[in-house]
Amino acid sequence: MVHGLWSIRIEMGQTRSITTKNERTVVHMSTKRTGSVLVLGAGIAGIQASLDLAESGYYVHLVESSPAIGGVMPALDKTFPTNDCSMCILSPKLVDCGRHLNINVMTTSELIDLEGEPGNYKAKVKTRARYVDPAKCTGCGSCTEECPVKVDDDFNQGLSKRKAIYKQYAQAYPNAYAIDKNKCLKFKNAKACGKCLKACQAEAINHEMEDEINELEVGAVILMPGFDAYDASKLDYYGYGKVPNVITSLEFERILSASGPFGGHLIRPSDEKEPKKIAWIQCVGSRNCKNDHGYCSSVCCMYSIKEAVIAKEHSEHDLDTAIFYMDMRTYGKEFEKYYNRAQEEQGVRFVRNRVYELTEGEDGSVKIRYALEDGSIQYEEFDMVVLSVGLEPKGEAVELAKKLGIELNQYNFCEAKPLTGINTNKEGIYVAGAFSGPRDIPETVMQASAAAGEAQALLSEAKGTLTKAKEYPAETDVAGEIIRTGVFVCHCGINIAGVVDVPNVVDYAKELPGVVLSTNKIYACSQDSSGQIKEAIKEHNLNRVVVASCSPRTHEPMFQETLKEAGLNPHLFELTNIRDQCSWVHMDEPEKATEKAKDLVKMAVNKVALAKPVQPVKLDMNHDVLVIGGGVSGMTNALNLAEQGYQVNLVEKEQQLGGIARRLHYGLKGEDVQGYLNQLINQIEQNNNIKVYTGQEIADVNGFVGNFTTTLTDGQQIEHGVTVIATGSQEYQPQEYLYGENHRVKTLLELETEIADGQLDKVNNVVLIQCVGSRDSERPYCSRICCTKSIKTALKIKERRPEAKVYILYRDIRTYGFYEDLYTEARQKGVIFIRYSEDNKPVVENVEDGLRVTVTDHVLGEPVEIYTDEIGLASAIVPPVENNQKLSKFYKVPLNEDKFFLEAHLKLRPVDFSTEGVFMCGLSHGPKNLEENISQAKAAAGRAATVLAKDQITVEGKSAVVDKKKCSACGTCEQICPAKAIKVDEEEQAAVVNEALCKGCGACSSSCRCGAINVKGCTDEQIMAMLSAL
Amino acid sequence: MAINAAKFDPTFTEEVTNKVKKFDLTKCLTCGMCTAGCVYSDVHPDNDPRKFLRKIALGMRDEVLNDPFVWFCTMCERCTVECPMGINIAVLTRTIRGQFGLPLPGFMQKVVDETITSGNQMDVSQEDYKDTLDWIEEDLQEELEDPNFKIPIDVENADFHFGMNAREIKYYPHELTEIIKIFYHAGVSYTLSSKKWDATNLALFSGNNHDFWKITKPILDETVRLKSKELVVTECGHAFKSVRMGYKEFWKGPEFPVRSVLELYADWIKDGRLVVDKSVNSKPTTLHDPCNLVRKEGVYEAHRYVMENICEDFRDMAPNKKYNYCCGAGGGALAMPEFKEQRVKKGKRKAEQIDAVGAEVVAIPCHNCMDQFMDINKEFYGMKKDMTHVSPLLSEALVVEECARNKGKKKEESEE
Amino acid sequence: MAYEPKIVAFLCNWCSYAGADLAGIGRLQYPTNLRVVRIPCSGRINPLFIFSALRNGADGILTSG
Repeated sequence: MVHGLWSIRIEMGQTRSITTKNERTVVHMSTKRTGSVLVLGAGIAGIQASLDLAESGYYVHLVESSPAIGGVMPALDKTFPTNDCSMCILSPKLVDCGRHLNINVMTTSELIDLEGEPGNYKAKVKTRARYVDPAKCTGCGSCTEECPVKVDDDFNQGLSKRKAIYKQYAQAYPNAYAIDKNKCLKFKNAKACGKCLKACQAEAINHEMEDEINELEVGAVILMPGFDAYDASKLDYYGYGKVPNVITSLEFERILSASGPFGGHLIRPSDEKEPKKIAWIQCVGSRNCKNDHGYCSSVCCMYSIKEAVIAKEHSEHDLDTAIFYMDMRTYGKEFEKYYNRAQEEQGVRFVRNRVYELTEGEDGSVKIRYALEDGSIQYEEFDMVVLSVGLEPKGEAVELAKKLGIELNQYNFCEAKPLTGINTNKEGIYVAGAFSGPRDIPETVMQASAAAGEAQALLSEAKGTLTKAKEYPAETDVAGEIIRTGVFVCHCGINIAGVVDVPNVVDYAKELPGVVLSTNKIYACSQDSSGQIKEAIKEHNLNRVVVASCSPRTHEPMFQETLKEAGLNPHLFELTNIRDQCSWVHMDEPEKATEKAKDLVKMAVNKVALAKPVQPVKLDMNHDVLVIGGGVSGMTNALNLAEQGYQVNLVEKEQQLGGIARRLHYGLKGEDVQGYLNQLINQIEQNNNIKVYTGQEIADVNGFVGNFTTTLTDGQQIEHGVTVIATGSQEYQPQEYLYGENHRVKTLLELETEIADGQLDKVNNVVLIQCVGSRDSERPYCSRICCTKSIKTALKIKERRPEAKVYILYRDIRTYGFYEDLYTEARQKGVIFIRYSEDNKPVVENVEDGLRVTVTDHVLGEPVEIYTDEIGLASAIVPPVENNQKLSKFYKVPLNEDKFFLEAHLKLRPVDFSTEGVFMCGLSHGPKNLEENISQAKAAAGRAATVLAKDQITVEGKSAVVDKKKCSACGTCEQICPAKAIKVDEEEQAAVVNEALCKGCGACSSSCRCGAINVKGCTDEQIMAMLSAL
Repeated sequence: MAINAAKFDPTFTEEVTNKVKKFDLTKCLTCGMCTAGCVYSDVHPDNDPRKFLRKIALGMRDEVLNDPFVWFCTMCERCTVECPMGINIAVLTRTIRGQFGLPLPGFMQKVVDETITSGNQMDVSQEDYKDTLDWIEEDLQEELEDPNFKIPIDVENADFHFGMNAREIKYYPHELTEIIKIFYHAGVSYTLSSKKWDATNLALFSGNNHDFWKITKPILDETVRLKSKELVVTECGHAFKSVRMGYKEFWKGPEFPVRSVLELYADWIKDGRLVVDKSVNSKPTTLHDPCNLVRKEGVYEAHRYVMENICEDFRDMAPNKKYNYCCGAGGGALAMPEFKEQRVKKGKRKAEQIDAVGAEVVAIPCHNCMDQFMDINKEFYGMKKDMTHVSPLLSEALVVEECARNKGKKKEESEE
Repeated sequence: MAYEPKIVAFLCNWCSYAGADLAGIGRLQYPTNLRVVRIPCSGRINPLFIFSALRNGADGILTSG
């Protein structure tokens, strides 16, 4: 079986390497490949993949079955582990995706058939009539006000009502309504109702609209239909739907959400009382073999902790929260710290017991009788209980996959083929996100970029053949014009208008100097508002724009795009934050908040009046890549980019390629790792686009995105446009458990080699100890892969010597996703699992009778003495600290507290750095298994391609500017500049700024003794003008 | 004293696993759902199913075989009815009890042996059986004013063969009278057997399958011999479960349904064969769910339906049906007098359930449970509660002149 | 009415300003008498700005980055 899978993989690899070198024989491609991709599902995965592809030169058809893009994220309140508002971080992407010239968003649509071959598919897409023309609909909502039919609002999990004509959620793209055919009265009786038709001024509604079928030519398909939440009513013992105040975690997200049915006020839906005690029940529909959901849903532990933490923040009184769980699976990056903080600082209680039943108590409370580890019984009542429902594949997606001949696993998930991250059994069809297995947002985003990368490698010859370029109207020259400012004050639904008196602010702004228009917007960020702002710019001849809404950190680029589309320089714009920093933080003081909002608007109006156009700086782009690290991640990344047609330099510090994978023998799904590795190295060596440098490290780095010069230790210099850091990590050298003192105590990797060498074939007792060097005060992170790795090792020992007794001593078994099946299998094969707690660790001693491990059995509560032949320590994955610190300085990219590289955003930019043109993948990012590293390596390729595909590098241009006449060439600025972007020119006797490197921080300006330096886009004069508004 | 892991014996775990066949106990996650689910895990020591299971999973042979849990467990299946790994503690308890050569406590083995010899668990002689039936028959002839009334014995081709609990012959003939009276008024076709009439089987609890089949097979054979369409068992949980289990696991003969008499009662009320007047039973009444009838064999609604129709003030216990508590005397606890203390402690929790619902009458469709409820009545209520089977309540509520048989009669009379 | 000082805050776009956003996301409530000036970096703060703020009626200055 295992070998069967492996041989498929090799075959596919061979096919690939032949087909991508198009000068050779093309095996199964009869025609030229098509430069477009069909992306199925427009959740965060679909959006990310579409943006990556569209930015890299491919046209995308984004097919979504619901009336709006966004998927599940819009319905979530905050996201772990950063507690970012889900909608807030998503919405810029929604807008980017929705307005992207090379993304054809097809809502209310589904893929019904697919024919053809990799590179050339014909896809049949059915678009169901939405009965509202999105091109005409302004999203004004008049129709929905008139509609008499109330329906349970699915988006709010049925906690509130919507109408039969509805918009999925406030910030939906397309910002257009749709009619629920099953509920609309007019579909039951043509003569009935029709109120919406009368209400719609745009004449966008048409009940006669018919379904359409379109045939699209695409080169590849990416499946990311997402997931369904487990139906909690299937577990009658938790009383969902019967016991009041037992709700699901998704319902709880909506309760917490400011845009939810209760405006973010934490109440229980049954009687709207504020709960004082809430419990979470884990594994509802997960880790349950009885109902064929034997897998772990991977995300519930973290989301429950997050919900508990946020609930505490929302609650006015001291909210008591308890999470009932079996194993706490906080295995992701920064998760363990989040868990520790929840426990130690926020006081969330964690109770290790799978709850048996929920019963109705007094006054709507919910009773729980639970068992502690020692077997003692506790009784508690909670005001509300949240069921942490698991993830399962969507029924429609399963049907489609079956129709297309896509293989599914036993749970009907489309699990990726081993060691591919995102490949299905069909070439040219990829899978990403929760359809391939339960996973969280960062991994979903990672896979989405990986699938985009893989599709790009397949279709590289057709790159740019179907994309369109965006033409902006010529920029209006505003020099010398009288200031004509337009002010747009946003309601943000009720987020702002619920506190701030928006009409009052609008009126106030009308009187401010230079303001010729002041108006309000329900959602300034919506598609129709954008159109209205553009119209207003034309109609009122505006040459400055102020939007008073939310944070410029999330929304400024979007509004600037609007200005560009209207022919204005994007820097003639100011966004002032009257939501995050006003209405949200002064909820009980509406009058004062209104005064503050007025001041903020005035400051912005003053500032924008002095704004001048800033022109972007364009620089030449080097299209070569430097990949640092020749392990599996670096090689996979290099190979993908090489297949995309880019020249790749691959630097490895050892004399040979392979990295830590050279020490691996058994993949987690039984793959032959050495076979895989050799084949990968072979592909690298055979590829003409890849140049390998072994035995080399990075000695120096100069430059920036598009123009890096990296010097290797032997002095060779590499010019490149993009850098990928894939430097990997190391195995922790244990200080504990007699490691290094007794030769029978080994690390897991050492043990693995011995198993492969047959040295353990006669062993009788093996003890594996988990969390050695992980999850402690020194390294407060989880090394993520050790649980699965130890279990796999135990199974291997059992396979080779069934009579051996193997013990795994653990703190929490963290076999997330389908790895849970391995845990089940190990128990069935007789591997003995004993849980220890951090304050009662196993004791390893040399005693007269041999090597002895003493550990307290978690169920029996008694010490167990194990005399053992071998001890395997699941030692931590640790970063190469010095090396990482060095690269961190060279490429100006940050490390986290644990000294792994820190991405630009933990949730939505998992392989990017905020420093442009630098990406990362593999263990340098944090502990991950081989499969995940491969996926991430492809993701980094997919992301790097978005930069490499550009002909030129464009820098925003908000840089420092020197008034040569005032400059005394003292050199203070040169000393102070952290970006090394300013130098004194000896000839000119004045400081000169390198605009490409300048970050516009202004440190030079504030330290300039002559007042010779100013900062474009944020001048001294502008700041003074703001202050004069006080 | 530390446990030496060298004593963990995987062959023991394997042996148990092989014997239970239907599920894999080694899948246990030690999640504690069973400990929380067993309502008796905290009423006295040595009653934690997770610990018992853990010992089996670790291969602690001696500790398992000497674990008092083996006898304390009432085998009610509540703890693992929704075990996420599909493990069944009751089956494990039964397997350890009966298939590892353990001596049985109390008089359990004695009853099993006597049942094998005499054919019934009360050691009633065939003569006494006949005499009792004759006596009931005479009584009923008088009460029903029907001198031709006969209890059908060994009548072939009847709609059902009725299997009873030997207690009904020995201690509760008046209740048997009520049952037969109900059959009479419903106008149904049935038969009793002259040979094998006791459906009970204490080997269900002793765990010895050899004994078990020796006891249960004859009653299934009787159904075939008498050519009855189905076998119907009296309101006794363990008798019903034994027959069902024997039928499902060992029976190789012709197929026929095995049902509880309560299911028939419900059908007869529904289809109008029995007409009832609930005002007759006016006191607040609740209903026990015997584990062997309800949780283990899935009869959730029938007895409830009957109760709702024959009691004016029916109050369901909480929890009920699949999640109702065991009476505390399951698993043959009544045959192990040395563990009475534990049994009574468990009974207290059952009593709390009765209190919570405020019932004065408790209907208990099981002879085994009934004995425990009698003790509960004695220990906690000074005999103030009315503990009864369902049949007497039903019989009381019958509007006889409206029932099927009498309607027919009336019709006949009017035709004449 | 009690004396309420007027505070001007210079906040770095990348850290403190983001922190102030986070306070909003977390609905942390604080007094309204604070006016934020977003700057690209705390290095951007010219001493001149502080004088100017005070001259324009600020009672206190908060710089954070």
